[in-house]
Amino acid sequence: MIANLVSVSTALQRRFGPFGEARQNRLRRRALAIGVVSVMLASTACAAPVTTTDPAAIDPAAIVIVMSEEPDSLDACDSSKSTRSRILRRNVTESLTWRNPDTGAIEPLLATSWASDDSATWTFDLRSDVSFHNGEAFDAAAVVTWFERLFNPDLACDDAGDFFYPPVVESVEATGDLQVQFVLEDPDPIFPLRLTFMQIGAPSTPTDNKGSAAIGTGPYMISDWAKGQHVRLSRFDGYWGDRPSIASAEFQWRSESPVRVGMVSTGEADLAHGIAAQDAPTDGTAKVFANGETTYFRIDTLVAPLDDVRLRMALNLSIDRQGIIDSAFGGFAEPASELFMPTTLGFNRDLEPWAYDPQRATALVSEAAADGVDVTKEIILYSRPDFYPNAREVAEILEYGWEAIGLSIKIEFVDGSTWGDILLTPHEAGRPPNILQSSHGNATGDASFTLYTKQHCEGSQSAQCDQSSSDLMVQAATLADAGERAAAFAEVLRLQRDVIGNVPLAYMQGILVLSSRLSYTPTIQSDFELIIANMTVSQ
Amino acid sequence: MGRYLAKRVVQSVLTLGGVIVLVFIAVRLTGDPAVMYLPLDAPQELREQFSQSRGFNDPIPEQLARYVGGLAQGDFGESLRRGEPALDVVLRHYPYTLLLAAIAIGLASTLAIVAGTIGGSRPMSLVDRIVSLSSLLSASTPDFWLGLMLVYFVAIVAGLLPTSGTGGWQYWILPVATLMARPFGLLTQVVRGSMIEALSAPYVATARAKGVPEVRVRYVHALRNAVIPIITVVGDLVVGVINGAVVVESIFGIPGVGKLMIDSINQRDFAIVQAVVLVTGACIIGLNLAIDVLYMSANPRFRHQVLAT
Repeated sequence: MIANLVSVSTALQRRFGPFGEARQNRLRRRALAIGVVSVMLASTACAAPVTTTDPAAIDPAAIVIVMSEEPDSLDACDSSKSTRSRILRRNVTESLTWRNPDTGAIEPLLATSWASDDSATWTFDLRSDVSFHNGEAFDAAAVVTWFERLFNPDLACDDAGDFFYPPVVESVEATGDLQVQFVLEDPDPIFPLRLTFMQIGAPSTPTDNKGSAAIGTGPYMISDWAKGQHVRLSRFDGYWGDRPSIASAEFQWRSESPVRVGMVSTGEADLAHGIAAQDAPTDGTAKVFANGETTYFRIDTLVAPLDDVRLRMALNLSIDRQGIIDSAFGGFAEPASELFMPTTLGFNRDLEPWAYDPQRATALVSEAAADGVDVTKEIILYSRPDFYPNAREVAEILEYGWEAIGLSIKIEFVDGSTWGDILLTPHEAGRPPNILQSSHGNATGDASFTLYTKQHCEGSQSAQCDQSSSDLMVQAATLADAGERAAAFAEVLRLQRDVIGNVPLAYMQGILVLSSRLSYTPTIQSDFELIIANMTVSQ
Repeated sequence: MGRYLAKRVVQSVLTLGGVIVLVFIAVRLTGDPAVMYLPLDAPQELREQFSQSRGFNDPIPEQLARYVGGLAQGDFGESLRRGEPALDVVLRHYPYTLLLAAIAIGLASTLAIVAGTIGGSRPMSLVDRIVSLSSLLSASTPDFWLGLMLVYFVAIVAGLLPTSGTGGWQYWILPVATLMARPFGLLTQVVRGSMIEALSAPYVATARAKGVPEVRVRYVHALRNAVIPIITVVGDLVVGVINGAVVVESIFGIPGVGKLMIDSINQRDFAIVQAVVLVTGACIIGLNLAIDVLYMSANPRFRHQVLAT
């Protein structure tokens, strides 16, 4: 800095010649200011890392994938959030079992086979030819070590919180070098399905924090994680399975959908994920796929006047679902009858989406009013505008429709954290009657992942209580036979049709945009699983 | 002057202390971090266990005392989401925002002084009307719209620059152009007004009467006096630009502190929010002190007032 000041002062003297003391002082002060600014600029310029993808230098064996959000963790035990799972699952990390998105069947991955007599004790045989990216062996001891870390309450791993409360795993033991046994507190017939979500990390992963990047057994390893900028994956030469054709992939993130599309059209990226309907190109580069996501509105059935089922029915009948899909979702969705898609085990095909019948809705509201229900009481419609594209507009359309049938609706826009407070139990005492905008993804193939949390009397996101359907959904979850299980869950849905705790809106479709050189066929799991090994690049 | 600055530093430290306490309490009023940290399907008992083990259920004074104790040892706490020291995360993101803000303000100030001086020197002329109109448009254009338009026309349609990201100088052009638009418009208006006022002052008439060349009258005599309010406005704009950089950072994928702050508030990552506020507060206080020094340097009357007190 001193050198800067001296040089500036000397330059000024050269420019203006010798000058008096007052002028010199004045100029010194100016030089000081210029020096400070120069040093600030220089230091900030030096401090900013300079790394990115130069479009002109794209390697044909490398691809760039741009997503909407940066992962805040790449720990293998935190893979259930989609921003992380798109990078990790089946790329960096693998699970014992895998769900084939085309058939819905649970197939071997790191486990070769599994068995259980009572659905409470499960034994898995493991592959023998697998090693982690750091050279550690994959065996029963590694699996036990990993699950002990996964269930460490101090780490609060997402994967455990998402899929294991219940069921509670009482113990995980190595019953051989390549055999591991899980003992559950209660029988869980879909335990192999549940394990498709449990990514296995290396045993040497720190057990006291979650800051490190995953070391897995997948076909790619994390070679560079420049936080805030990109995650780069490189092909793992020691992979046990087929060698993928793409040598490396870089994940970047841009929050604006049109910018992501623009990156593909300029050659800066090969795949843009999570594109809004209005930004999807019409030149054939956009790939539309059912993504397992259902948009819906949860009704708080426990607070008057929404404790009257006629009003809840009226809420459903007054919605023109197809109209909303066409206007707000660009036609990229289907009207929904439930909170999960028809491909999910337990879906009841006899139940159609609610018909659009505003006259009947108005009559139901009038009938309730005549019986003394206070239909003039203000109902808060909590809308979360960032939830999905055009979520604000959807809430406003519903507000208009519900006002038109005689209800008093007031929209309140909330952020994600406030939304979480409203969603989760225990609900605040003395809360106003309310309806909550929401969206739910169930590409897992089983109704149990939806019903208990959202529609059981004690569900963590439930705002309803119907004892008979609650009891039945618990019973259905213990059934091992797929046919019996599906029938029981379908019956739960039939009972729930009388409860009307939600306003299902639409089965959503995701949109990807691909560059002309990249081939990839999205599946129902592509919202949380982008398997690079399934992609090919034309030279 | 040293005494004055010492007094200002003491005032600033007290202000910063107040900000720390306020932010510490305010972020905790937003709710339980367990709601955002744990999966939505996690049961209530797990949330309770999580909050208990991390001290979020302790009385706020106890949490505050723990935090201040940590600060005294240089410990800003650990990010809940990222599992690393909060200060490290903030300092990793800050250079981007500072660089963006410094270039945007530097360019906006320079161009505004040139444009405002030209316009203010010939009030109501065609040039002045063009300057006024362009500065008004520039000041009133929403930055998110301008940013997306620049991406579309300059990067996608014309292919002249990259759409977004960080890297060489070409990556900074569109974000800087977006971020500097509003300060440029506002500053041009200020410079123009100041120049009109300065050029109508008696000392300018005297200078002209003494035969001082017009260029010198405008750019030395008048501009020097007109620059005083500009320094004040630039100071305010720098703070606004740092705070408002979040939109530009989001559009162009720049990992700056603005986006970090918004994400951390949404995720209830208290340690990061507190660290961002603390570092930003310290920067703004330092900036205000620098502006005071500059102001005294440019305005002898203010300097004499300060030295007399």
